[in-house]
Amino acid sequence: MTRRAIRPDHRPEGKPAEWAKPTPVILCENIGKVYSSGRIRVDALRGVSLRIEEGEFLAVMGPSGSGKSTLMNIIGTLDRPTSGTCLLAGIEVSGMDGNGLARVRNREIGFVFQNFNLFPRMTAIRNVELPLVYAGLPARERGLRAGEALDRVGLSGRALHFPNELSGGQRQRVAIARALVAGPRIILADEPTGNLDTGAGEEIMAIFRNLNAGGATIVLVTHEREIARHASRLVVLRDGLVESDGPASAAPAPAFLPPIFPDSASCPAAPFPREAVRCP
Amino acid sequence: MSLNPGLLEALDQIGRYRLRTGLSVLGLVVGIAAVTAVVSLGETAKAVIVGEAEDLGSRLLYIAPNWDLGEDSGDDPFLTPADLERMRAIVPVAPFSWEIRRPLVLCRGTVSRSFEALGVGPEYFAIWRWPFSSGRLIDSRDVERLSRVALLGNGAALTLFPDGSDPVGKSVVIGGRDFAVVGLLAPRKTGFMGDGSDDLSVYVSRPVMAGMDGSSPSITRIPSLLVKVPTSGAVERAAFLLGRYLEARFGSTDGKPRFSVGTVETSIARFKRILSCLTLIVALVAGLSLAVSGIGIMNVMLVSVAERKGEIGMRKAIGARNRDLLGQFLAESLFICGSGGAVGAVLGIGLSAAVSSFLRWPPVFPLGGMASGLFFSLATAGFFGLYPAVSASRLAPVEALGKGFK
Repeated sequence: MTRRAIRPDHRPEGKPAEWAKPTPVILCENIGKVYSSGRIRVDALRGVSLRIEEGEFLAVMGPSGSGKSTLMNIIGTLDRPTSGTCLLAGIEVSGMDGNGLARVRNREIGFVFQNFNLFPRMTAIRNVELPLVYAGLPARERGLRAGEALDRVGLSGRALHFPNELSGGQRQRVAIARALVAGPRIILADEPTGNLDTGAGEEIMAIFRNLNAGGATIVLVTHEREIARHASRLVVLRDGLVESDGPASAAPAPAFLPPIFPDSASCPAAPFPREAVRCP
Repeated sequence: MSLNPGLLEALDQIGRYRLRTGLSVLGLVVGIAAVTAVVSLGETAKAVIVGEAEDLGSRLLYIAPNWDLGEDSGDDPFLTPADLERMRAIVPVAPFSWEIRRPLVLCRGTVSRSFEALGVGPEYFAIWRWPFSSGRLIDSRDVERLSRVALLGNGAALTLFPDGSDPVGKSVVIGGRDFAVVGLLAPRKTGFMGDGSDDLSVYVSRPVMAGMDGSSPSITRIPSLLVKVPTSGAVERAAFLLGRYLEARFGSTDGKPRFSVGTVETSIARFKRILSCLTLIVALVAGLSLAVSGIGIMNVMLVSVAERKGEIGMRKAIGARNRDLLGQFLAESLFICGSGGAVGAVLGIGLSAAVSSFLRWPPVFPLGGMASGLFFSLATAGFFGLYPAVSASRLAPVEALGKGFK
């Protein structure tokens, strides 16, 4: 599988899908998910189809119980659908075994969670390194790449701090560095700003927009319209079905990106390093 | 993939629940210490026995009433001088020795103490070849002339002559009569085959000893005999011939001869059987304690897996395969048990060294004991750590993450 470098300057104005007709990076068809325990049967998803092109920034909204987290878990191969198929980067994942899925999660997907999910007994840089450990990279290489990833979220000065020595926003930035360190195509974020105050939340969203500008496909689950407005496309779920799918109404002009880290000049312009990691 | 990433992570987690882990390992430490000590002591004991057997040579025959029949001491059969003559004819060259043992009080100046006195003939020293440090042994002239001469064991000499002077040529009082000391034995270590007090024994000639009892110096009752067969090849034949004579003379009960012939090998074999039996029993108890501690470790690991579900889920989310997590949790229990086993092995070796030095056995480095201690601890870890590790590795990622992160 070859990976194409997608840079913002290569993309023409308008809809990228029509221009390049690429394979969609995520293609879900008629996904259903049923949770059943005893006689109780809950239809979390009732036939969701979704086509997400490479480089899209998608927000998924919906009231609680609408199935948005379930959808994200299925896209991220953390959960298996009861019915329907899901293709990630053209790879059919429904029939894959555990090792294959682990490989997909390791190389193709980066997760960001509401609770950060950092390993409390590891320093920031070791947290960021961990996906590369599972990818089997040598220690020196891991250190270099993890350092770069921390630099990209503006935390290179905090590399040796433990999570409990960092603020909430900083922790989430470490988690984002960990999600992107292996150079995945897709970043899945489940309520990434849910535990943060508005200022830190805005910082996190600016990083996501930056990453998206560098070519990453981002799927963001949120229940805050303020947060969803950073995305370019908005999917609203209700009762396990897609209620609406269209451009995020209040999406800002993509040309304007405020400087997030005034001290780190290279950061906002850094392209998403697609070819950075070649894992054995 | 150079190294299982789990191995690196495992060490990190161990310090997390120090007290809990430490307590659960304590049982293992005790179990491994017991296994190591038992195996080490068994090895040492066997080495000591084999060493003694080599010292004695395997040419000794021991003729005595059959212990296995459990007869009353009152009507124990005994040999007579006539039996002795006939048996000498069966095994001509071999020295036959028998002794009379009796505790007697020895005095010299103001020192007086009770020792075990042995009435022996010169053949006794031909068989046992105790090394002596000065003087001479009791010879046949002493026996014929009923000379009041004595040979002192080293411990006895030190008690009577605390200044360490050579007792040879001096006189001591044994059982109320004056004896001339003619020889001094070299110090000997305690062993299995002797009764442990040989160093404290005093030797006089057999007829003199019998005379001190008030009875006639001519001996008519011989309770047991030692025979040293000239060549080791002849041992079996001599034992067979003597056994046939004794069975014809004394008869047998329930197919077992009332007077039997034993070899050093049979008594070593008997001793080894007892020793292996004891080792087995203690090993079973130790094994039981290992199993109990293994269950404790399994419990701790299962609790740890349950508490760390979120961590497991997150590891899976960033690409850990099942085998990575299996390796991590297995490495964790292997490390816990390995360190517990190492501590236990050191304790066990210390214990066996203490026992060895108390019994004055030669120090043996118990490589086998150490190896078995470590082996059993790792086997315990592998066996009881496997299920928690497998259950950790098989957790569905979404389920694990759903539990939240700690």
